[in-house]
Amino acid sequence: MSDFLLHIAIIAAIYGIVSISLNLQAGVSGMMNFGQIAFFGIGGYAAAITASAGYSALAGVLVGVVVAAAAGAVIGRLGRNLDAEYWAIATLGIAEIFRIVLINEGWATGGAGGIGSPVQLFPMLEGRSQLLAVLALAVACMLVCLAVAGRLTERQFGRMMRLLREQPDLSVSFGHDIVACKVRAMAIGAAIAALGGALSTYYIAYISPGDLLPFGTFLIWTMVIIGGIGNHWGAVLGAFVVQFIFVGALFLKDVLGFPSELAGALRMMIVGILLLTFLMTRPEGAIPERLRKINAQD
Amino acid sequence: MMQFLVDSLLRAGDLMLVTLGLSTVYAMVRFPNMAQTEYATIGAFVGLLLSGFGMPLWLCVVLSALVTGIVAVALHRFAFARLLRSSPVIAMIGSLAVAMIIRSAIQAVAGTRSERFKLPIDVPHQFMGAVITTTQIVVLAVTALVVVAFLLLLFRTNLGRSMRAVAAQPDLARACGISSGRVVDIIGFLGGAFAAIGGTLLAIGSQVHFNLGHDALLPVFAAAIVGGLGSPVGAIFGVLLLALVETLVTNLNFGPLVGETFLYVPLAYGPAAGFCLLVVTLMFRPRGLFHSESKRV
Repeated sequence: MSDFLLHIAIIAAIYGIVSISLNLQAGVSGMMNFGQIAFFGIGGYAAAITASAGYSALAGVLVGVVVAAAAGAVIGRLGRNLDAEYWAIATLGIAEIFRIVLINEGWATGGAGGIGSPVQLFPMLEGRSQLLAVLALAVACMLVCLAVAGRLTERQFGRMMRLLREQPDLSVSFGHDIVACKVRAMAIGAAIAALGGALSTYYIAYISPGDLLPFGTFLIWTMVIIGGIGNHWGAVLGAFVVQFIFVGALFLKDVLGFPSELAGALRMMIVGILLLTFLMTRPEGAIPERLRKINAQD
Repeated sequence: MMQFLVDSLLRAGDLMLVTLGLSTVYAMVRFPNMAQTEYATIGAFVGLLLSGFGMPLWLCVVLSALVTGIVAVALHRFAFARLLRSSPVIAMIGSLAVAMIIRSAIQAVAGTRSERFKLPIDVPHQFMGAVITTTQIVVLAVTALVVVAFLLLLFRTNLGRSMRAVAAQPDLARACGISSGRVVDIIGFLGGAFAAIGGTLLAIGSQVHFNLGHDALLPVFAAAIVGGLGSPVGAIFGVLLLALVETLVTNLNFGPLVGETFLYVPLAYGPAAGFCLLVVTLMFRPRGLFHSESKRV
């Protein structure tokens, strides 16, 4: 039982990392990225492919983070003059292209069946102590991401991004290079998401195109919105809430004797209703973004 | 060659009505409604349910369009109109939540198995070297009929004129005495009804499945955006272009280019070609091919 709780906590921490990455782009910078799951996938597949080729976990994480950051920068640059809704659909489309390529290029990616990772994070440990070590690593990574995202948001970069989100024209008139801002926000967010993807692949020892469906991105969005868009602690809270809904639906299935496909529908419905309820009654989320008030008359 | 054109047309027919509804509704409400493709699933299931009662097929299509249109208007009033008060972005994410709820509800009620309309088995016709079934001809004809009727409504009637006025300048339209709320309701109804007709026709041609609308989400949005969100004519053009590109990429023999006899792109890359079309279009025309800021009504 407690092994199961450890597992839940590890997955929640990984979700937390991915949720922070989207919050940095969508919450702080106002970029409607609907393809975030693809960056998670880049990290995950980089881990699995390098591990199959015999490289260590550190190398796999590095490759994933660098490739994802580069991809994020390219996408940010390509989409520099798109409106929010066009940008959202374009990123959704790019993530689907990525997934279709993964399915079809089976020689490298294992095709639709996915690919395993022979490298473990802590091969010298066994059983419970291994789980504990992975949990410690995942939480540590999450806290580092939280600290990095928090620092970025508080400093000049964050101010520029919030101005870009609220008043893009004003931002340009101040002489900010908004294309460079967008490219940096995309690259940093993509790198963080890739870290989450790599951790997930090493921990579960497997990744497949089925993990990268658009629904994955919608789930990350749900975490960010219910936690509090623009607030990194909120993003983490949202990740834990969504993870516990998922586990709760599994328990309901066992307690009430639902068939598993009904449980799948049920948890999607709970997530959808929660998201809609928050948007309609509390769009700022559980922990709202704290904006510094400046009194113009002083 | 003829078969290639027929295949493209059939693909276009699958996506046409849903896309037309999406783009037209966007012109009114100014946010892309991601639940629009789920209306197609609702329509298909309502149609299937009614045909189970032994109703003639045309009546099933009409009734399912009515029901789905009403659902679409109700959802707009209850959810999207309120969300729009926050911002279009919030409304878009909200439409995603609505889509998830609809899809999971259908999955919970109808299960994950796919069903079929009970139709007599078709004899395929030979038409200038291409093979096409009677059902496919009827589906294409009905789709074309709805599209033409909608274009006549939009460009030849007073109602259509007020729709275009509200789309172009909502405040000015209201100042001219156009009841914009009523126009938005009518368009919302038509959007839902078109999605239902499209979904039912799609289901008649293949199967009814809870993922029917979700599977169409990306191609439909790609086509609507390539044409320019908010432009009905653009949507029609976008669907035709998308269908042509998808079919072309998987049917073209690229062998001679690289010095081999046969080299075909795998069939599974068809959808990817559509999304590539989307990305390339947006790089050169950030708001689609048919976008224009202001136009004469």
